[in-house]
Amino acid sequence: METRLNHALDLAKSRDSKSRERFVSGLRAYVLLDLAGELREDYEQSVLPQHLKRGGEKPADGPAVHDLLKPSPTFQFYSSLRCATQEMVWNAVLDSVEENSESLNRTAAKLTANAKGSLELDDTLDAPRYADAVDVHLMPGNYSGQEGATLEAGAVYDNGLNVFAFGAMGAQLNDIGWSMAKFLHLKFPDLAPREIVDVGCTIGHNTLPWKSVYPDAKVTGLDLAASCLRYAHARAEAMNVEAHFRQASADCLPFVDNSVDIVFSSMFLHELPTKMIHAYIAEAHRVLRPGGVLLNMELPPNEALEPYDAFYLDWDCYYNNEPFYKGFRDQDYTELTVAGGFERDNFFQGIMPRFTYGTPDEFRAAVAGGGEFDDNTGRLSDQIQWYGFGSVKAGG
Amino acid sequence: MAELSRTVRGGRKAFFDDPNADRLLAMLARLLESHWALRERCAVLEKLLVSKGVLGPLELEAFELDAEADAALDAESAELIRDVLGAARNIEP
Repeated sequence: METRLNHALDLAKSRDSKSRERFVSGLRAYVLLDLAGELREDYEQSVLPQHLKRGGEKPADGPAVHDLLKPSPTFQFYSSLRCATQEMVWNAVLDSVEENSESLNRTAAKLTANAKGSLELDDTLDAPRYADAVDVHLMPGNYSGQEGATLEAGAVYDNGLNVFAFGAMGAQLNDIGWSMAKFLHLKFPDLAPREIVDVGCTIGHNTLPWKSVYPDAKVTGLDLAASCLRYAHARAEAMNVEAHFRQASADCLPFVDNSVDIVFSSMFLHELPTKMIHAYIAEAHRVLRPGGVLLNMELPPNEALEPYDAFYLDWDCYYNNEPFYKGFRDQDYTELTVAGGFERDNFFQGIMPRFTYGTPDEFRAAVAGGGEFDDNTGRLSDQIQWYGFGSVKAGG
Repeated sequence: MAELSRTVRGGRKAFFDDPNADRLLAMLARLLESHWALRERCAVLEKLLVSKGVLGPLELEAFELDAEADAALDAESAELIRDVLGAARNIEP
């Protein structure tokens, strides 16, 4: 299937570029489904039994599994090809973004000329070292983009993520946003939010469903990266969704105390050093109204997973330029919320199927059932389950 | 037109004992990508030729090369093999 973006910022791509995207998307699926299956089989049927036969102890955690697998040719082949594929994801779309940069900027300007939403940038904000020391996800230019580019980093991310996801993250890459907003709606049916904030929103792909689920609320996406925010603003207008975007850091949310109903983030905390995670959660607690809800869609905590599954997810920390990934997943998520000022008893978590891939009734039943951690929780596959955790600010 | 870098800050890891194996695998994957793009282009061209009535649906498969064209393709194929596999000839063990 050709990997098209379903909105007006879709690029005019050459036949070769479209073919390359199709190929790389297929290669990603091959590596993450077929080869990942072979890797697990190699571990369970060969590497682990041989280790136990030699008198070794059963690995107690992800790093122990990782150490055992490092010499395995299957692990080496899987990992090397996965890295090569990751580089190819971005490479496949960079030509198209370059070739279309002028028309992309023109289209964005037209879309935002009479915008329903807004964009507010803060040129006094410099990218902190933790966010810009390496190119996260092996993405050249990172989220902040490259010198002289205005919204191209956002376009690289949107087009690249579409190839990366091999169809597993929703038709508009928004399944996480839909699933989390619907989850919250089911869990807190009496919540009538007026102010919703998505922190670390990048191109706003998971910001927009919140406006659909809560049409009366003002929805704002925050990020450090101006290039992504410019693109997010145009993208929201292209989809005819009223959303507001502001450049801000997670440790200094631009809202007064007790003024926000929902603070949301997705796939964000695992890119932050622990100190920033603590600062963000404390800020979320400050800006939330009593009774307001914090919800972070994330990868599941290591303590909830079998050692092999913990290793499998932490692969990205070791090899995909995501240096804080494992440090975050080693945390006790309940304690993170408590340290930020939330009451221990108000902690909640949820495991759910993808909302846009099933019926609302199936989703409702799955949420009501509570969900269970398994080897598909947080693992990008055609059977993925999303995970989220959060808390409610006391006093509501 | 914006010029975007292809370099990854922070680099990426190698996994095999000899990192040249990682490099070769990355090149092979890119070559396969390029090979696919050519195959897709050929497939689209064939569809176009059929849809425009230039070719019948099975004409390409049924077409027999004449002896001269057949020999020329033999020679080109042999040259490609010598060219690609011969690239390693001068490397010392």
